[in-house]
Amino acid sequence: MAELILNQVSKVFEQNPVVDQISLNIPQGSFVALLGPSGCGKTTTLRMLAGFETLSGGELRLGHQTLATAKAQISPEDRNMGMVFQSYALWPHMTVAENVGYPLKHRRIPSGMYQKKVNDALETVEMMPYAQRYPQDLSGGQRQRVALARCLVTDPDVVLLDEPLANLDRHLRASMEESFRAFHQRTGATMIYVTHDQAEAMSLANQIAVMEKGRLVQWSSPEALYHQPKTQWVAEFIGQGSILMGQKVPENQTLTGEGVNALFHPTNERAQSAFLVRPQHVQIELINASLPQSATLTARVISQVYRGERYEIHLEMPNQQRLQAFHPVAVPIGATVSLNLTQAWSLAA
Amino acid sequence: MTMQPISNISSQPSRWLLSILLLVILLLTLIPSLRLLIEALKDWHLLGDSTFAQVLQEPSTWRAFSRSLYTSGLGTLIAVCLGSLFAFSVTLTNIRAKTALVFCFMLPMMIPPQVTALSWLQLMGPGSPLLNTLGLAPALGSPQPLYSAEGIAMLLGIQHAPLVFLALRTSLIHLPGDLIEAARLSGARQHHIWLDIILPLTRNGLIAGTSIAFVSALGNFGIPAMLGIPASYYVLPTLIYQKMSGFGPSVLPEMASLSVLIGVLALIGIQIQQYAAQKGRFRLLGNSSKAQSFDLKRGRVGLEVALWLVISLILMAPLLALMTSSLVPALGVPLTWETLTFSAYDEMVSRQGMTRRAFSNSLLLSISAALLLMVLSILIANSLRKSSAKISTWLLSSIEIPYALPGVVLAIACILLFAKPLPFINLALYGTLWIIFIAYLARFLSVALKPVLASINEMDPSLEEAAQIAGASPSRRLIDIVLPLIAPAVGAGGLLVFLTSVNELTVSALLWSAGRETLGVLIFNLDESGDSILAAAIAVLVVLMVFVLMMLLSLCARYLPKGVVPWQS
Ligand SMILES: Nc1ncnc2c1ncn2[C@@H]1O[C@H](COP(=O)(O)OP(=O)(O)OP(=O)(O)O)[C@@H](O)[C@H]1O
Ligand SMILES: [Mg+2]
Repeated sequence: MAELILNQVSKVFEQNPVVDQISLNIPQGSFVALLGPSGCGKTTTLRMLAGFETLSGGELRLGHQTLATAKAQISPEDRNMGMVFQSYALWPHMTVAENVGYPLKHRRIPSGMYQKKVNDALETVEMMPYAQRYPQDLSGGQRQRVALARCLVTDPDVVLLDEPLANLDRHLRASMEESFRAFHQRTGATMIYVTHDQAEAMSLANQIAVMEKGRLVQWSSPEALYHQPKTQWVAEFIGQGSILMGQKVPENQTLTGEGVNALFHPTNERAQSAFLVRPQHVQIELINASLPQSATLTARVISQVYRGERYEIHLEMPNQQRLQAFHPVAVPIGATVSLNLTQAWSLAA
Repeated sequence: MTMQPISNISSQPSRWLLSILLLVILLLTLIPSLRLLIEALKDWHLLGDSTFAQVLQEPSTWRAFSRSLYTSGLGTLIAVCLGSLFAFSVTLTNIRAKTALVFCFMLPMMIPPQVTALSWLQLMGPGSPLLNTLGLAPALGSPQPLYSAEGIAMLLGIQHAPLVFLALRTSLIHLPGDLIEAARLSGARQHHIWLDIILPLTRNGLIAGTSIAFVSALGNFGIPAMLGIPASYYVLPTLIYQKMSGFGPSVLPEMASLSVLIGVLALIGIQIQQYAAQKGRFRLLGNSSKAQSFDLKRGRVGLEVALWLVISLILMAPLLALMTSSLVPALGVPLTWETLTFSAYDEMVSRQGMTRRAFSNSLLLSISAALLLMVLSILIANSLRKSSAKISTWLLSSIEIPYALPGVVLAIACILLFAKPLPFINLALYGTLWIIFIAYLARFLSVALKPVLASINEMDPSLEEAAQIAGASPSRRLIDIVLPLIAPAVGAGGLLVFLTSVNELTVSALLWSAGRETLGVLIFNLDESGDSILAAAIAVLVVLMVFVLMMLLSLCARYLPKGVVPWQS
């Protein structure tokens, strides 16, 4: 087991660069999410890691061992990786136990160990009682767990997962996320997890690679991704928030405290920097029109959406900039509110 | 772990296997047609005096040509009427017992044409044992009404109606039910729905079915041979047969020219079909999961009676006649308890030589062709899936050629190829069973391959990838994963090949030699030599065998991709 290294990995399909010079160093035992909108090349990247797609350029290494270059590669059957397919890919003509045991048949395993390993794997995903069933007779979540057991039975160096939760309902998702986490902790295998669901990526991974149109745009921890997005695109893609133009400041800084409001003052003509403002950092207060106002920021309420625990309020400032805020109670549409911004992140131009 | 050059990583089929497959397909499919073309055109430099030009100048050629067009045209019309009646009734209405109805309707297609012809001959005419038994037989000496162009056309129509039915039903099944529901909500009455929605959307299926039926009628040999030859009414395939059996290999160049003529006709038909399939291929959006059914209310019983009446006319009556014929001592004798005899069956079993030999020849040929084609189609389908789209379209269309061309054409091509001993190895195939075997392989490769391809394309590629990442080598993946999943389709393909080849007549009629006759040839020869009773007895057994095999296919329909068993929805 060792570090997994992607060095300028590229893939071109019919002259379209689908994956464009991605470089990542994935430490052993980390849980990595590949996150990005549909069609950005996540699956292609994962399939190159597995060896199902050839590389058009760059190099793939596991420690000192080269897995693939544009000219030669180790075929998937020799890589000791595990993969959970989006469709689960359970073989319908084999029982659960046979499905799980199949990878062992291609490794040199002492004959006595076979049954034990299969049982252990089934035990971990709590599928022991279903060992003799056929995949058709299982529920979606159970199939998922069989697929997981099949990929962990051989103690793979790297486990690849392609949107494994995409077609499960919300409750099942939560419990499956839990089993992925437990599995990762127990085995210590490097896990690479493709998803377009940012909440899933945030809650599972300790490192996230965000991809856009085949390129890597940010590679960081979930917290850094949320609070310190590198580009405006990432800022808009991850979480909720508004992009506001304000007074020029150095790039990539977290600004807090009293000074934040002043950045966006309406009289501020030369607005040159873009800022990310998260809705939880926007405090609003209804203005009593009869009372004279001090010169703070104001905005008009355009619409609001009830989200259960709070209201999501959409606002427009006098200079037509829009932003979002959270508020515990409903506010009248059209009302004017005073704004207090507590934190902002200055984006790179 | 070793690095392998990209060019031969194991997810690609191995080079040599692919090349061997390519070679086999090439030998089986393209070479015969090319050989035929060369033979027909080899003295082209003589221009007006070349064989091809002379064949074109002969009046008999054009007489047979126009007769071919007339009988197949009329036959196609009948097939379209019958086929669309059944297709619309079965897919769009709420009539009962659909599976049984479709099974019975498909049976004529599976029964060899010469048996169909024989049973109709037994049904009609003054000698008909059935009509005699019922006391309805026309006066002795009155002509057999089926020995005519219209008789041929009628049987061609019945034989090929299932083809129209299949093509039409495919497009009807894919007709989204909500399109019709939307039309109804917009206020369209029943006849408007038909005119405005259903007919335009099924037009392609209708055109496809029509041209397939036309091409098959054009190439049919059994029916015009049994009905036309006694009346000296020759169409192109029977003209070729008659000249070949009359003059032998000396007329081969002439025969090749005739074959090219009929081959060109067939190819035009196929082109029309493909053009129709490509042009105006609507993407049908909508939910097609639910089958559409018009509630016929009180009209339902009427339609059911009408459909079963058609079935009893086109299937039951002739089969009954065939059975009656096989149980009487001589033609013209009514069937009673006194006259009932199994002597025909006795004779069939006891008569040494011919019958038994024909049975064993046909069984040997069809079983071995089916087995070999099953293996071939597994290998071809498995490598096609992984090779480039260009190669696979090219291969698939070349595999279609020998099946689409009339059997006579393929037979002539095989004679041309194998008349002389093979070069280098000096092996003579002409006059052996091998030549028939090779012709069967070429002709039925597409029959065996289609279900396998459908099944393998339906298979989720990640199933195999999961095995690959589990460490399985390409051959293990084929054996452990792919084979079990496509096995039912392979079996179905083999069964279809067996079914079509065991009573095949068109190819073997020209390729058989003494001691090498097939079942189809036997029935044909017995009838030609006036031994109709014995022919009927053998035909009854053949029908029985077809019936049993079709039932067998129905039983495994559950495990097959949709559409492999034609009469199961
Ligand atoms: N075999 C192929 N040939 C040509 N183009 C391909 C092929 N496979 C993928 N692509 C293209 O590559 C791009 C990236 O595809 P990929 O499947 O990696 O996207 P993805 O990020 O996984 O998207 P999703 O979230 O929708 O699954 C897409 O534009 C796709 O059309
Ligand atoms: Mg994907």
